[in-house]
Parts: sequence; structure tokens; C-alpha cells
Amino acid sequence: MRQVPGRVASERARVKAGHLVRVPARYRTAYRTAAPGSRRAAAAGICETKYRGDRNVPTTIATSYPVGASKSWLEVHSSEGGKYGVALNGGQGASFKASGTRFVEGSWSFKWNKKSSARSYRVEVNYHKYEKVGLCSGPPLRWSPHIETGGATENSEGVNRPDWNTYCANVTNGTWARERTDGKDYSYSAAVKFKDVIGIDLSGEKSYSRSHKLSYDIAGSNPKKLCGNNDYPAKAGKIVERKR
Amino acid sequence: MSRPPWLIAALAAGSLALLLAACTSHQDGDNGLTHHGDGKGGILSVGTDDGGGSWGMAPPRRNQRWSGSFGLYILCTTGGRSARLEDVTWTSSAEPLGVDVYVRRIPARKDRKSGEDYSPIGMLRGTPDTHPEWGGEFVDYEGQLIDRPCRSEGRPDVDGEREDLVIALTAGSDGAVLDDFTIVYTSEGRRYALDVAWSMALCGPAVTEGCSQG
Repeated sequence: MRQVPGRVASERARVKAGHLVRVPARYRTAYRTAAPGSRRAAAAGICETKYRGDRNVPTTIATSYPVGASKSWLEVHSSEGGKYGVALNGGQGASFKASGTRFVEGSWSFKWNKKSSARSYRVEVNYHKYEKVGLCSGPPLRWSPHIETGGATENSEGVNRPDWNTYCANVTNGTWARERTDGKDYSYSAAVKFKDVIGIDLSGEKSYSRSHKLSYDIAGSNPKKLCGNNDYPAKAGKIVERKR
Repeated sequence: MSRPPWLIAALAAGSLALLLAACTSHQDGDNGLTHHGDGKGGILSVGTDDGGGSWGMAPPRRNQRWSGSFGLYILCTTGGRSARLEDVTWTSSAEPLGVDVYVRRIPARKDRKSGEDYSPIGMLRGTPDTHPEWGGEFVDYEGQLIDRPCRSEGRPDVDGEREDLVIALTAGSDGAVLDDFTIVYTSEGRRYALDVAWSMALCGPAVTEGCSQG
């Protein structure tokens, strides 16, 4: 391996990555071709974050659990985006760990069909993979949410009716909708279905608003009630319909 | 260089005027009424976290004149203060034939009668007068004192005493709707208005928004 001249070593102590080209002209031959992320760049004390590809990950943004003849649906009008988990990996065989969330933008619209079965509503979130190369501190690998792609699907497999039965309100036949401003968010610790790729699922959070409206069309002859998971339905993050 | 006294007086008066303007910027000029959203300032809350939504009640088959009640509005106050209810107003794109507003006082679990239902009313057909099985005491809202503290954290106490606001609407066959409503109240000599962004509809030909379209 070629030795770094002593003069350059002292210059290196004074310059930062972006200034590397400002080393004295006589040494440029050796350093101007140092590609970002290369061993040579690393030797020069540079840490670079390199984009290593992307993946679209199905992500749950709401769930509904109608009962009997009732139906439910989700309507998203010009999505205001959401908060999705970030995963970090220490490298050298370590596993990914969830580390905070990041808000990403949406701006797509979709209305799911009314259905009488319990289901989760999923969107596709585009994740970017980054690797830190060079003399870096912190975990070298990161999957970070980039944008909601506009992909919209649903899932009913393994969606079991929850037994929330404490914060309930009695309802008759009609339509109930949670929308407008900022009640409690929908929040799910395993919303981002990333297990197949990185070994863990990540969290997701989505606010109810005029543009993110969850509705129940309550029907049938049996009396019903709506129950929230962590508060009464007007305020809860998730809502189930039950027979009274 | 010293300023003349008239200039100092003029500057002080100007500053005072600016200060007063800033202090009253949340008021609407209607006797100093201060408007606020649910849980966004003010004293009184109905436990919706300023979230909004809509209730749309399906009409009965025979619906010349019919009623429905809405009541998932759990009353509480913040800052250890009390609030006296003065008035309930609303905007309506299809006026009901009648609006009755009640405070429903629910006793603690040990004092509840068997055979009565003490769950909050989300939306139910009829009015408190026609449903004796709806537990609790329904009283006219006007002048009612609310002093139950809002729980700043943790979940609501479903077994304790509580007060709900219940709004009963009566409509003809066309239907009726309250698009939103406002509770005017006083606390420590000041008047406030709590704006609630939930709409309540008795569905019919004149009211289809917020109602299922099949």
C-alpha cells in the first residue's frame, strides 16, 4: 500500500471531506481520484453515506372490524403523509433494530370499497437503504422511509377481531366516521411489514383528518356499539364494532 | 437627549393599545367571548381531543317525524376550575324541527341500577324521554355546573361518576343535521365558547352527507 506523505497527513488534519481538493497541487495526482466511499477516501478521513437501493414495503395505516351486516371503509384524499419507523444495523452480522420514526409525504388519494369483513388497510412506503462508508461513527446500515408511493392494498389474513370492550358507545343504524383535525393517531408497532427483508417490522403512525377518514356503516337488526382500544371511539386510535 | 413628556405619554398609550389588542386576539368581539377547540385552551372539554367526525343516523321506515340522540361528549374541566353552561348553538344546513340538549349525570358504578344502560350514547334512535332504560339523570343543560377534572393522562374511568352532553334532534321526513356545535359557558367571570367539530345528522332526502350511500 502506498504511504501517505507526512506533509499530506498534516494537511488532512486541517481539511474536511468537502475540501479535500484543496490539498497542495503537487499531491493532487495522488488524491483527486479518491472516489467517495473508497478505501483511499476512508484513509483521508471521509465519512460518506451511500445510497444502496430501495424497496417498497406494505404498511398498515388503519384497521376496521365491522360486525354482522355492517360495513366499513377507509377514504384517503390527498394523503398528508405519515410517520414510519427507521431501522439501523451495526454491521458485521448484527441484526437490524428499530430506531425512531421519520415523517414522509404522500399526496395520493384512494377510497377502499365498503366491506363487511375485518381488514387492515395498507399502503406502500418506499424505503431507501443507506450505508456509511469511511471513517464513520454509528451504525453503518440504515433503512429509512422515503415517500408513500401511492400503492394501496388490504389484508384480511390474520386480522382477528380485538376484544376491546371497555370504552364503548351505543349506536343505532347509520354511518359513523372519524375524520377532521387531530384526534388520537392510528399507531401500530408492526405496521411496516419489513420482516422478510430486515428481520423486524417497523412502526407506523397516521393521523385521522379530513383527508384520512375511517367510516362504519352500521346496519342489521341486532343493537351495536363501537368500542375504542385506548379511549372512547371519538378519541381512540383504533375502533371495533361489536354487538351489544 | 430627553424626550418631551407628551411623546412619552403617546408612546405609553400606543404600547397599551397594542398590548390590549394582543390579549383579545382570540376573542370574537361578542362580549369578549373566547373561542377554543376541544382540549385547545379554555376550561371545558367534551373529550374529543379536537378530533372531528360525523354521525349519520339512518331513518326509520315510517318517518313522518322522528328523533335521534347523540351523546359521546363527556364533560370535564381543566386547571381545577369549574364551568357553568350557558348556551348551546349550532350551524345547520338542514334545520331540525327540534333540538333538546341535556346534561346526563351518571352515578358511580355502585349506585347504578340494574337493567339500565350507562354506556355513553353514540347515536341512538329516540330521546331520553322515550327511553327510560338509558341510565342516569337527564337534566336541562342550562346553568349546569361542570367541575369534573379532565384526566390529563391515562384512560377514562368507566366506573366513576361522569357527565355527558346529550343532544336530541327531531326531524321530518326530509331529515336534519347539525354541522357542528358550540357550547358557551362561563368560568371565573369570563365567557368562553367551545367549538366541537362533530356533525350529527338524521338522514333523509335533504341530508345525505355523512350518510351511507348504499
